[in-house]
Amino acid sequence: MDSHEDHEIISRCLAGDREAFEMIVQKYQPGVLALTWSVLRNRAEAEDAAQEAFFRAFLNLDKFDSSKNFKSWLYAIAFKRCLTFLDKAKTERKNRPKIAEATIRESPLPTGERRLEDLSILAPLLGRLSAKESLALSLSVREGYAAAEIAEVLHCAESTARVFVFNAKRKLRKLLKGEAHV
Amino acid sequence: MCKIYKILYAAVPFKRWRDVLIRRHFERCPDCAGEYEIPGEIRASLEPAWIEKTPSLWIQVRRLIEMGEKSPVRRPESRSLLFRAPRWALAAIGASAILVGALSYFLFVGRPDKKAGLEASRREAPTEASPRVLVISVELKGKPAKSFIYQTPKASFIWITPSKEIGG
Repeated sequence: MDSHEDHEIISRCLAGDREAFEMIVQKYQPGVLALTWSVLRNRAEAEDAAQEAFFRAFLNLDKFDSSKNFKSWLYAIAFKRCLTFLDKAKTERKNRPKIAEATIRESPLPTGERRLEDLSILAPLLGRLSAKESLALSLSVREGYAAAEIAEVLHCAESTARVFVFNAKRKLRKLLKGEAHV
Repeated sequence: MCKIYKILYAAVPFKRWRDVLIRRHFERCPDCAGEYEIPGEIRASLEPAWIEKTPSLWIQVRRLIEMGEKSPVRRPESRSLLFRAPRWALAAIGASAILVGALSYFLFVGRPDKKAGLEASRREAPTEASPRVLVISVELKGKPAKSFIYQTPKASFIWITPSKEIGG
């Protein structure tokens, strides 16, 4: 399904065919879930944020500029939902970095060979990144987005997006090196 | 560890220049290029297996849409033009208002020191022993008339002239 088909579905939705939106949900669900998960690091919250993102997108379909990329527009909405979730949970998450750190320290890695294969170890490390860094990394690595496309989702300059990706990768490398020495 | 990109990011003011310089730097700097690569394991961690196994969210999304249709989402009222303006525009408006206010003050009201000087000279004036003239009555052709007193700037004398007869 290319962008032309996206626009066709959007036109159908705008004409009142609500069920047509299901195709959009099915097509972009993995991408939106990966995005929300990369920012929120919590499956339940990631699913909730993804649902809300699709819902908001449906409500605002009439505002979508057809000259732009629908996926980037949808991802921008999903990111905004994630930020809302983060704001709401801010007070609850005050101790989260400490917990994450404690979890890492409590589970020392026996060998350097194991460290990268175990994704449960990487997850808390990814949690050390800022929301924008996580998103930029996810879009860059998973979606293969260029800096300009990431900038479109984040509503920032291309160089800013590039620096977010670079900082995220650098931080992860640093954290992984640190973990190898535990 | 290369910090050039951080310097470029912080120091280059123009977005386009910054974009180009940072892109070039990442392309050419061997230190940064090495860090720009990412291990495959991290790549895998960005898409955990549960994502593909998650059932379609369409049912939940449709429920939200139906709920929204029953009780329409109240959208916040659109903000006035003033508050929709970007922050830099508001800052520019504020700064220019202050500038205009200051300029107006100096142009039309006068500088505080100058004003204070004038006030002082006015206050000092009565203390000087300047001659005073009191015109009690003016007659023109034997009849009372109005009088006008003139003094040209820096002149040491005054002119007193009758203008016309009162009631004439």
